Amino acid sequence: MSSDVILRVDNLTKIYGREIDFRFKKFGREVIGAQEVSFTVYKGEIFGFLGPNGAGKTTTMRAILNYLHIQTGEITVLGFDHKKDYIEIRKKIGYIPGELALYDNFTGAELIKYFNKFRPHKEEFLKELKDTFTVDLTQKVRTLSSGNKKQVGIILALASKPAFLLLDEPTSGLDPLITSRFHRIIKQLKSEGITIFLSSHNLSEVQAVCDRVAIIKDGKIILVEKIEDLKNKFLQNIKIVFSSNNSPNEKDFKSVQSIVSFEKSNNNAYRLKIKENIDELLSWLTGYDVERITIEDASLEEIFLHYYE
Amino acid sequence: MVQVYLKNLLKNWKSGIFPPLLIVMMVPMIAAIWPELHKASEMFEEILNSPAYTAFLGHLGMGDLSTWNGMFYMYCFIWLEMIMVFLVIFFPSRMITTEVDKKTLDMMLSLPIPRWRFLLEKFLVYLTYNLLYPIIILFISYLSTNAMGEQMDYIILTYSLIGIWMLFFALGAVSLLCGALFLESRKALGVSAFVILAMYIIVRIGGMVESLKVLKYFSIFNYMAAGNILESGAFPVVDFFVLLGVGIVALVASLWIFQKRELTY
Repeated sequence: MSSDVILRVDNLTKIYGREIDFRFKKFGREVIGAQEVSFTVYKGEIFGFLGPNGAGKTTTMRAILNYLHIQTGEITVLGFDHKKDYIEIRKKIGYIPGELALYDNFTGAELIKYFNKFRPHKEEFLKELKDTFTVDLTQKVRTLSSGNKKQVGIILALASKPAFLLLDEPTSGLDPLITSRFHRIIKQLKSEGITIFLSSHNLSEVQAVCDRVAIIKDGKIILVEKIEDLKNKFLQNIKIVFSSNNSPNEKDFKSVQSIVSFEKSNNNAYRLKIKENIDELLSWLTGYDVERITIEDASLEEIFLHYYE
Repeated sequence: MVQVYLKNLLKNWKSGIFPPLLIVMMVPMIAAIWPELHKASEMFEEILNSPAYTAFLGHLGMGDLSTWNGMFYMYCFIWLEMIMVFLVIFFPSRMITTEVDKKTLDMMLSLPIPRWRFLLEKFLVYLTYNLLYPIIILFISYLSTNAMGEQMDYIILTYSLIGIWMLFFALGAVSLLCGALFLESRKALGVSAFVILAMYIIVRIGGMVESLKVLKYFSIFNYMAAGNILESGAFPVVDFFVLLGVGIVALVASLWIFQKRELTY
């Protein structure tokens, strides 16, 4: 399995320093970018990295690229140490930064030509990318909309078919049509064995394309799970209609540990969210007259909000 | 191999070529008015030697202003020095900081090139375009002087122009160091302007006040100055190595700092 490890982040901590309170002339709290972050990304998977703004997604990605000095931790990319072998790593990766900016006085085609000198393109695939995306590559970057600039960035990152793609919110600013084309392309790359690390706060995107996901909160990884397992194992939405003469009260619901939340929708109907163990709920329900029960997997958005609320 | 260099060389050709061409246009202009200037050269020399002018321009030391050689040096090199002050403050200090401001560094540094080399190749573009000043001035001076039937010592002129380029190198490297240290345009520009203008003023004060003469040795502008070369008539080997040393130290420090520093913007 270890030969299949493309990215290993082990105990990464990045503290930017302390806030300074000028009024009282003293240092405030530490500004933490990432704290004891550990996860592994395997060959040929699309790994989602979820979190809201300021959670530590970009810090982690910039640490992987050796842009930041980390306090603790080890990072290996494609088996190379991220500090010592950063040139080797950069020969084999494609990167889209969160705040993508390109040289204004270049056309898209000129940038592609420039990047080709460093990471030679796969000509067939470049042609496919040009056909897939709608941006006019003969236009200077300064004349392009932010969505079109993003398309240029995507072509630059993908054109060499690198072994590993680091994509920081690649679809922000793209319209739905281009986003779906982008998803098709990265699924195609995955099928060819290319590994993709996709940072996003777009949950439906992660749900649509990722195999596994890590959720980061306040600089800490709070969960790494397969998307399917996450939906099945962690949270389910249940609708129960009890018969009118025998329904539980609030205290009864609270006695069931697997019930995360409950609300009454009308007379004897309840909506529940349960976590992990449905057996406990089912055995508890045997004490009541249940008219109807429906069970649905929670959406990734619900799971995400559960962790963030 | 040198992709960053070639890319920047081609992309910045307008800002690289036009300033030297504009400055060099002054040479035929001086040549055109030289016959009239020549008639009033005595009065002109008196004005230029007044304390007010000396304070601003320094001890000219450009030789006899009643000759074409002296007048050419006076106009050409004083103007060049002033343009140089502006260029070295403004361009090398912002070579990296503008990329930080525009956030283009993130994407560009993800390419397989060491940061130090990325910066070095950009600095080499600056040095290449500044090489146009000596080359074009030498060429146009030759044409203008011959057209007027005047005489000029081209060996001394070449030495002086090498001095100009060496000053571009040493001062540019100091300015680049400010950029690498601060990674923020306003700070880098401010510190670079302070350091370079301070050196410019120091060499002027050191040249005017005998008791403060020692000050000028702390200014880069004191080395390979065109006026000194014209006066001595020899290539200032020591000055050359001083500028080379300062330039190399500042350049290596800039590259090392940029390679090692954290990009937290």
